[in-house]
Amino acid sequence: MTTLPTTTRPPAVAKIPTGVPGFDSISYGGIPKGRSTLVVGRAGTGKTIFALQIASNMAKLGVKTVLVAVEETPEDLVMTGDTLGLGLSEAIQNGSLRVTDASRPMDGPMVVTGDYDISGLTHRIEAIVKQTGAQAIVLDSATALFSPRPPQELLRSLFFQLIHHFKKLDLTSVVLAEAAQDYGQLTTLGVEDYVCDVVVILRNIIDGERRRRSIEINKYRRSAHYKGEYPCTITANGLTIFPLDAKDRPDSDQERYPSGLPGLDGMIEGGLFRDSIVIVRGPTGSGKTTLAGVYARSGAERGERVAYYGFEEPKPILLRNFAALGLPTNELIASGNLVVQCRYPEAMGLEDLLVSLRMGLEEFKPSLVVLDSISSIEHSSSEKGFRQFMVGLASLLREHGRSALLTQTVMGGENPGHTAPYLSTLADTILILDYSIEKYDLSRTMRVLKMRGSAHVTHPYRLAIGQGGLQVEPQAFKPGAVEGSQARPVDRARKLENVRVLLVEDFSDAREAIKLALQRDGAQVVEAANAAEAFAVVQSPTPPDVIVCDIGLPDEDGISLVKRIRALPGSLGRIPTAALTAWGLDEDRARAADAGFDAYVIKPTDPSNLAGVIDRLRQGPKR
Amino acid sequence: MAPRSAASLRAQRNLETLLTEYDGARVTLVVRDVATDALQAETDRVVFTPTLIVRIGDAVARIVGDLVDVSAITNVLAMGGLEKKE
Repeated sequence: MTTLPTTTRPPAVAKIPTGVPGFDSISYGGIPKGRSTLVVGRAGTGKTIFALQIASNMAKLGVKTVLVAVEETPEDLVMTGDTLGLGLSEAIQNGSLRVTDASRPMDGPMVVTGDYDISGLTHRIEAIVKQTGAQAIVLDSATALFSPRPPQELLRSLFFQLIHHFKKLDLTSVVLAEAAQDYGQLTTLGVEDYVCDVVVILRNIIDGERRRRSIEINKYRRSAHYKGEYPCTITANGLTIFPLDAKDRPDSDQERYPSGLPGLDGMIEGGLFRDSIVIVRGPTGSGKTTLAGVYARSGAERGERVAYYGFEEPKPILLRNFAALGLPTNELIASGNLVVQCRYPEAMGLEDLLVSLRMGLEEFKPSLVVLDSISSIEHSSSEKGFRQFMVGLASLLREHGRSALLTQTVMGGENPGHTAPYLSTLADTILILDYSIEKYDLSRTMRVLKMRGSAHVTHPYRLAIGQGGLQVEPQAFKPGAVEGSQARPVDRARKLENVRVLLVEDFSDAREAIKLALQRDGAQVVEAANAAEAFAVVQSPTPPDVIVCDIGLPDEDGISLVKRIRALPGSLGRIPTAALTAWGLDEDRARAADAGFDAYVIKPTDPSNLAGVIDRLRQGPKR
Repeated sequence: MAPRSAASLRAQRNLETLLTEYDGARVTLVVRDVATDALQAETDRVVFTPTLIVRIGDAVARIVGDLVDVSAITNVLAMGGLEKKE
């Protein structure tokens, strides 16, 4: 019988934490002790900042560090670090950091002739190590050091000598190198990655109209690490990385808490799980924001701290709409239990939004978090950017052990159960809100699509929106009843039969939802995503009977558009027009009326309400 | 220069040979070893070895390499007004 040789497992790599938020998670502990880490990226990707953060952290941990300044002067490097609050000057003073100048002297010409080696620098470093007891070195950068660039063979040899020397001195090294592009050959020199134990790539990519930063550990000898790109951003305190995997989730003891809707709690056997993420999906007008309001109020009334982030309307409008539904929030806000922040995601990059959310979680320490809606965030980014944001958000929530409710708008008619798979994976609970049109009224429903770790009712319950918010109750089964917002009424009065409606709305899913609702009433809907398209439709051979127009539009807003339409001669200048907008302050209404709008409808609204307004407008006397 | 470095030794030999062609009273050659005089190397910001630092008055020029081609030195010295002996 043959005995297989026993394999000895190599010892785990000793690591030094970098202190760069998120990096020690994706690298499982930091950079390898006594080995070399190469940080590559194009200009402006944050290599120097990242390296200075590591140098500062090592110095703070008592690992004496040498910073070799090649690309910038030592003074400039230290100033950069001090500006980021890294305390480099202090570290130099207390002897935990030493900066050495290897930048090229500019006091006269430098000529290269024949063969040479890098002993000048290696002996300087060796002398500093002997003098200070340094254990780590940061070189910024290899690219500047080897400029002008030696022949490839010599370059390879010089870089090898340098890394070999670091290793011989038992130094933990971080070496920076320039990349020519975000993807492709790792560095402009093309030799560094072969001899380094770890390669980290920083990227700053233009994605759609936005810049997106990411970090990737391309290689880590003898250690597991997170694979692929992770979003990161540069704040006033340096680089922050968002590990997408929520591995640091605190243990959850399956504690439940009330959702604020007793009917819903009944569907899910007693309430939502603590530290879980709930996604509420549904078309425009299905009651998602109202549900978010009920959830937030109920938490704050129980004495929990609730952070509500609204991305769909300004704060005064949101709070007024809640108050109108019998969900006052003023006292809860005054008590400090509820914090409401409304912002437009277009106004900041998604990484900055994540940083802002992280700071909010750390400072306010809410136990419940509401985001209404993630679809607004989706509109303001690319698909990949949004995916990274969502996974980063989930990671953030779980890292801090927070329960969250996120709303998501799906198009009318789209099967709300089907959406990007990663969103379904992130959510512990998915609730579907929907409506169908029955006779003259809406029939609203709520369904629990998924509830991780709990039994739940699978058929839809009836949902009513009214004073006090929402009410959920079991509904009687109706044979033959058609569910879903695609449902076509059987004997419904189609009050907009053959009415030509021009719908001006820049958000495609909102436009789609409104169009479907109006079409159910028999309207012929022509869509326009901006003022220019709308104006062209008005001047076409078949102008609309009624215009429904959003006020906030790209380039030219609805106010300006309607002023231009009112200036047109004849019947075109008198086409009845309704504003459909989230802006509902008195001065907004007055501005719209002055511009020539005939009606003012505040979003979100019931499709039946909008249809009623259109019906009234087209029957009324034209101007 | 660096100890036990072939390039440094070649540079020293090439330079010493060249300097025999100059007036010894007008040229001073100081050879420093980066291994034993690292502090001076730091002051002079020497990275590569051999590095020849030529100082003529206030003017400074640096020549990196084993000096196989001495024309770089003769040019620098000529610019400083130092020509070979007749």
